[in-house]
Amino acid sequence: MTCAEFQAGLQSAIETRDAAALARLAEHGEQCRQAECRRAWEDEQLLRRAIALWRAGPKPVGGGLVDAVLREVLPPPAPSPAIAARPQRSWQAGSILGAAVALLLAMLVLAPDAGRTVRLAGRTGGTAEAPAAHSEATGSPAGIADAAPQQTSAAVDAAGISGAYVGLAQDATSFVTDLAMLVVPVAVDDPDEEAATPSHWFQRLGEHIEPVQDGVKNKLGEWFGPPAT
Amino acid sequence: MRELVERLERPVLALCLRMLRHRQDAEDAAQESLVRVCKHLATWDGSRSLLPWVLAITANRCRTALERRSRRGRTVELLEEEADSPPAMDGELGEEVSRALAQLREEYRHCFILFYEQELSVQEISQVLQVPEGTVKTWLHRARKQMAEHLRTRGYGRSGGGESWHTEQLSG
Repeated sequence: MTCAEFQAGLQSAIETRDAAALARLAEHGEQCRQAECRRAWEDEQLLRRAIALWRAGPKPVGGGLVDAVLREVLPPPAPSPAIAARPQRSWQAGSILGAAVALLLAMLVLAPDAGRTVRLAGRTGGTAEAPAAHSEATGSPAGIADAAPQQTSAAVDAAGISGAYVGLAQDATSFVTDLAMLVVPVAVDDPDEEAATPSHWFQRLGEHIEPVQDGVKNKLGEWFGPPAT
Repeated sequence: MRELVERLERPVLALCLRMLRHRQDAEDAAQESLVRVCKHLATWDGSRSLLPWVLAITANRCRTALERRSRRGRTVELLEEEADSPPAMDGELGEEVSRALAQLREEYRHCFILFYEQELSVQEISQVLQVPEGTVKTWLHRARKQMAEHLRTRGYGRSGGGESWHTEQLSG
């Protein structure tokens, strides 16, 4: 093996990591008297030892690198839509229900005598004293009781009582529903979270009720007659 | 996905540390690289090895970080010790390689790291660094030559143990 062959072979063996070729070159490298060959072989020996020690050094440890990468790559777990929406719906539904109950109570408190009249009319089969003209005009439960003052049979009595209560319930329900439809969309559709808090909601409820206050009074008057003095 | 990232974490971080020589910069570059790998995994040519492709992305990230660093003119505390520190003993030969690496030209250093630490072939390094194979061979040869010279000047000679090659030549 010539020195030129040795040096070319050494370079090639290093580039291809050919251990067998390096072993074949060892004899020439150790015995050749040429300074170039000796130096090339010594460099190879020195670098092999140094690189082995360098590679055996402490390995880098990426503290939390994997988690950081995965956090960036993977989409965050989305909260369950049902769970996320539940609290908002809960207070909205509660507010609506509360408003409805409050309105029903207000209606009963504002006209207690009329309520008593209705109940009395139902029980007696139409002997209660209620203005006939008013009853005819409105077709209210009281009117139903008044329309048949002469009926005395049990069947007619029962029909009158149930009809009076059903009519009252239907009218009250439709009124409350109409009012709720007027008020609720404002609170539910408001994208501003702060504006949709319960305190604002009730404030707005009052604002919206104010314009229809007269309407409420008229409706109560139609149902129960003028308030007793 | 977790398994993939865990497998790639060490070689990617090692390359970043060697190239950037700064822990925080290296971790940032490693994270950027791994995120890119995950996001663009569909573009990887499955007929080729994964690691060279990943390291090519990593090398690009490191180059960008180096450019950013030089643009800012930022002074960073590099991991390697100063070159004029006392001569190392034989047990510190591995650390001396790190010091020598810090003094190599950037291309030579990248080539050396990819060849000896990542154990990539010349062909794979040419893909990673996007240079011809002949260039890789030249860079590797020069890196080795300069590394050996550094070690000799630091007191490591033919038979090791702090024996200087130059001293030996003079005395011999």
